[in-house]
Amino acid sequence: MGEKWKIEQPEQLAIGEGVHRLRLSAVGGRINVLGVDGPAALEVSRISGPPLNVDLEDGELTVKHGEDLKSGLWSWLTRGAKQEVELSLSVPPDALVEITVVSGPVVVSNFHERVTVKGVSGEVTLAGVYGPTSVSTVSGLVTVEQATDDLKVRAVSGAITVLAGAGGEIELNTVAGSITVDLEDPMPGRVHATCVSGALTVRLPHDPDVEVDITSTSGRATTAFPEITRSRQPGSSRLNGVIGNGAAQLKGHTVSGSITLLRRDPDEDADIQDTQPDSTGDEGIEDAR
Amino acid sequence: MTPVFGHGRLRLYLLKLLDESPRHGYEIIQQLRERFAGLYSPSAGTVYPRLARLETEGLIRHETDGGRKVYQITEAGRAELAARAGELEELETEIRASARDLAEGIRQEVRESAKAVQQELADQARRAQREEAGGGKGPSGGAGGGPGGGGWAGIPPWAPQPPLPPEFEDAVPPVPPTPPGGGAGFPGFPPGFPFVQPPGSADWSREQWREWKQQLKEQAQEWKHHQDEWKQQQKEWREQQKDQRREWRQQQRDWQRDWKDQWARQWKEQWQQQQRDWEGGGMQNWRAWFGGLAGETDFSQVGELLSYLRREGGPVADAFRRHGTLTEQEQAEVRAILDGTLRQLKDLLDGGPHDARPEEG
Repeated sequence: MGEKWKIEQPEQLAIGEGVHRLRLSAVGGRINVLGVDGPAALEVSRISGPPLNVDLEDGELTVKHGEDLKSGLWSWLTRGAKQEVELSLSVPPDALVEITVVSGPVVVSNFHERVTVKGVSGEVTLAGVYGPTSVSTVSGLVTVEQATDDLKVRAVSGAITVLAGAGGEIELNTVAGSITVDLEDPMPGRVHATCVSGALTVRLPHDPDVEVDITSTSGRATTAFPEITRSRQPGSSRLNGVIGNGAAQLKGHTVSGSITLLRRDPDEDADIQDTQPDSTGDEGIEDAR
Repeated sequence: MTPVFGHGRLRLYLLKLLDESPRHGYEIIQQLRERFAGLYSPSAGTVYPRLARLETEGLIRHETDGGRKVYQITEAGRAELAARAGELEELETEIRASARDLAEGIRQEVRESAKAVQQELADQARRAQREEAGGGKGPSGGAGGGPGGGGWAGIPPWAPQPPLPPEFEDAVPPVPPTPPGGGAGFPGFPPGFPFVQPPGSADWSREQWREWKQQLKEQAQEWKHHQDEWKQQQKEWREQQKDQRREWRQQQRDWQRDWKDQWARQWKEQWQQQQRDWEGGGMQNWRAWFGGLAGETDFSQVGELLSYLRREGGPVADAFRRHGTLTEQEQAEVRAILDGTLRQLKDLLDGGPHDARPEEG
């Protein structure tokens, strides 16, 4: 009892209930996938090149733009915007999500199950991923806000930023690009970050239980925790030590970037205590208005 | 496309939430999550700085209740909210109306938050560095002072900073010898030309005049000798400086070489580690892909190559067009190269989603 659609121009499509898995692949454009309760819906706001194929079978939704990746890449490289689609897809938050996009920004928000995003170039933004999540991209920024389960990000050239990472395990790899991780309580059980030519900055909750071991070949080491010792010798600098009972593990390495370990203000550990928001706010927060 | 949260609209939403009732920070976050159906749940690191800012602007204030800050809106805040009621309505319709706008809003918002947090962390890092450098030190965090750090604080441990030029011992060229007599100079003679003051009186004897002339001659010779000596000194000094420069340059070269070696070694280690990691994770495709693109060892170019491709893709296509029809052989060559690359890309993409998923097939 499969259903099929072919979309050739901008339109809105009601897909219906019961989607529990999404596979989406596109060559270029702008892809938004949101976890929303209720029936699944697709909104195509721009499309060029071949039609978009949408296929629903046993609750598995497949959305595919372009028959052949090869011809798609060829046209992407040579003629630019020949095969692009701009779409927003709402599916239930408990669906499994797999996205493959060669080029173009991807936004994924509010999913409780596994999310996989693969891309070659293009910015990847994840907001609210509560299931195991993995992202790999060649060039492009990866930004994640609110990840509470396992998170794995691999990039070649592109900065990785993780805000409010908690729970699970976090593994981040990039070659040319910095890594910034802002962790919340409960601290992830294991955080492992490596980059080659970028800075590595980690902010921990105010009172974490974590064992830290971060090294840099040529970068400067800074820590806001007195428990952590900095050792420096030509060829390597290192931050290591145990904070609290050392239950969690934080490991990191960078070759030519600085390494920095910071501490969250006590009041920002929101669900533990909520006392004194202050001071940190004034710098750098620009409300766009 | 109107960004949902752009232009300070999240801020406006915070005001609205506080207008409904006073709330503490965590409650605000929960409310945002609920209102946006879980689609946008800002982190504490995003919300608290914004609240703090609203407070500085006098739009909200807080009271402390049992150790928790409870925020409430002020009159100024209400006025602001009333003035921008239209925008708020728009925001709420948009959230319901368009997934696309919502997603774009989320993207911008997350991006902004990321930027803000990065900035804040950078500030914190600077503060921490300053503290480490030992309170008394200036903001540049001078050398020394770090715990057990000796001279390292403020300087990266494995110096990505070249050796300073050596302190030249004779930084100042030798001063020309002061002429004897120290006379102020006579018109027609080079300054500093040594003069013995003429005895000065008219009642000089012939003898005295002769003596004086003789003296003058001797002094001129002596002066010349001095000058020669000085020139010689200068020459020596220049030679010496040249030597020192050469030595310094050599030092620099040595340093650069050491640095490169070290870096290359680390880079290689790092890469091997990364490759092992990737292989462990079933990412052989990456390796194959890199291997195909950039040779077996040098992966450093991949990122550059890709941005180059993206940048140059258009011009290349243009060049093709200008070039006119390619011969069949040229076409075949181009195709072959591209097919190879595309095949590898395809491997990457197709092999992709499956490798990270141990669960069902």
